[in-house]
Amino acid sequence: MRHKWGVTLLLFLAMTALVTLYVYLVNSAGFSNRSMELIMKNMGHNLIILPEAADPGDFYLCTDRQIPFPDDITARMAEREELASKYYASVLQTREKIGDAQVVLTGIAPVHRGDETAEKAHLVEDVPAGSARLGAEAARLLRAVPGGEITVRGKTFRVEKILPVLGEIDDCRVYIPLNECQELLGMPGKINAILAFLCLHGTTQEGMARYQKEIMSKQFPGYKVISKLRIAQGRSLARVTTSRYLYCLLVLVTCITVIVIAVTGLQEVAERRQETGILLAMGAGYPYIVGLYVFKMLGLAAAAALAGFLGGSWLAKAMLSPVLVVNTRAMGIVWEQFPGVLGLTVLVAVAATALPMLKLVRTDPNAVLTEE
Amino acid sequence: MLELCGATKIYLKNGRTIRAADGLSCTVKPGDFLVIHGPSGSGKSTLLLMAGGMLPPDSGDVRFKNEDIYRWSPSRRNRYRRENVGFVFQRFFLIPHITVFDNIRLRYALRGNSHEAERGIAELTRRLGIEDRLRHYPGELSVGEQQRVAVARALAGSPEIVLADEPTGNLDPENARIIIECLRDEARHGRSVVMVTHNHAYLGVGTGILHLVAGRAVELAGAGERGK
Repeated sequence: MRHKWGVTLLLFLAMTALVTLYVYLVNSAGFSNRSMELIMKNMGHNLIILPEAADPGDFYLCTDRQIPFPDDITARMAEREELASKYYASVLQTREKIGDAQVVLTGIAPVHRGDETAEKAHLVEDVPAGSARLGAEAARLLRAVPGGEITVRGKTFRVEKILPVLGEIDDCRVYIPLNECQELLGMPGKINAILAFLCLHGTTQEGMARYQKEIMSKQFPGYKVISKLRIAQGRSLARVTTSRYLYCLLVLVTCITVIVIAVTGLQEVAERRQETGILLAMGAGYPYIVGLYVFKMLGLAAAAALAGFLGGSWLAKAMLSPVLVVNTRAMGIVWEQFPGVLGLTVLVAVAATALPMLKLVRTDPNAVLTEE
Repeated sequence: MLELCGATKIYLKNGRTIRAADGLSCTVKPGDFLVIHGPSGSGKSTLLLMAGGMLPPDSGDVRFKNEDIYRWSPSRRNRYRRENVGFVFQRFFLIPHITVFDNIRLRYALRGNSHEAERGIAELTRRLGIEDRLRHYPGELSVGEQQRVAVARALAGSPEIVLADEPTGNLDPENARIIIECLRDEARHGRSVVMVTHNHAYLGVGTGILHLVAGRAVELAGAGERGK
């Protein structure tokens, strides 16, 4: 059966347009989501990990009742990829009087996990050796300026950076490298909290928190996880909003694709009624004739999937990249998406040809060949 | 061998009962060329469609090699049409958007012996005088040439039975002669040929004649007792 090129071209263009729209939506939603994730991540860590026996209030208020624990726990957690958390930071904090000023001396060290993406970067930058990073309020109290010096317990630190006002206790912190803080406080190898970031992987915040707790209880008994709920929720809701928006659009696109293919298919079956009758009269079975249509549709779907994938990827890059407030990875063709796009296009095409094929197999050759 | 045994087909049209075939019986053996003759509406095409496995009779049997083809499964009957029957339609029914070559080759393809197509098509089209038309589309041919292509397609792959519905209708005498000669050739080569015609001029071309009037065989003449 040779194709009617006009109808074939129309069908190809329709499918390509719809696959393009699909890929554009998936890509733009994916990249927007990553951009939003980055924005949410910049709000800070959303998990605090403490010893089971510790009172979280002691950590929040930075009392001297905090329970110290070994700092190698952080590295051990970072090795466990089954944990949903990433971007760990070991923290050793204490209230410290520097001159007349009361600040929170905080030794901090980021601990990297193997699968953290470079594009998003760790939430905590390393504090260079011999340097201090000051919260806005601490800097004001200490009258410190960038490049100046402060002295803590007799040791001088160069002021590397002064952080913007956050309206939190972090404004009162004086961050120094963890190992130097441990040395100053006489607590080598000790920390009193781990900060982490709970990543959501296609599930709800509650589900992921439950999962995290379960793995923690098995692999790190004696430690508990406290969620900084507002930050975690913000991230979760941003993701859910993106997903639902995308889901609604994709359902719409899929319905339109099915309708276009089904209508075109019905039209083609009607136009080829006589040809079908001839083939049946010549002894071609229905599977053979249905096969001709379906194979043609599969070929078209594959070609449309490729063309639409390239078109949609290009469109997303051209239209979205300039408007993202926070760019993450460079936008481009995500080839990993192609098998899914191909599979979905073929599936939709096959499903949409069901109705025309039903009509086709009801063709009576005798009726076709004897009608005027 | 093809046999119709008391085949009856009744249509209901606008509340009227039409007996298109009324207890038709006939036998067509290898080498026979049966000419079916009768006025319009006498049931000639109905008989061919029943024999071709496309129209089950309301009663009676259509037998091929002693098996009732309407007791077969639809797929077995498809195989019968594909492998044993060549049908020439009065209105040609060529597929318009493929070439003459592809129209004929389609039959080889359906039979699964495409490898024979080149040689078979060359010989058939030479016999029918359309060998220089292979790359043309049906719409580019004259009516006579289109009918010759339809005959070539029916004969492709040497089916045991050739059913021809008015193959000479609307043709000039020269084209009609070519087609009749070709069908006679087929019969001489041991095929069973059944040809429907309303033209008295062709009554004598076969080895037997079946006259139909209102779905009934009213007279049989020709070689031996081949129909009743």
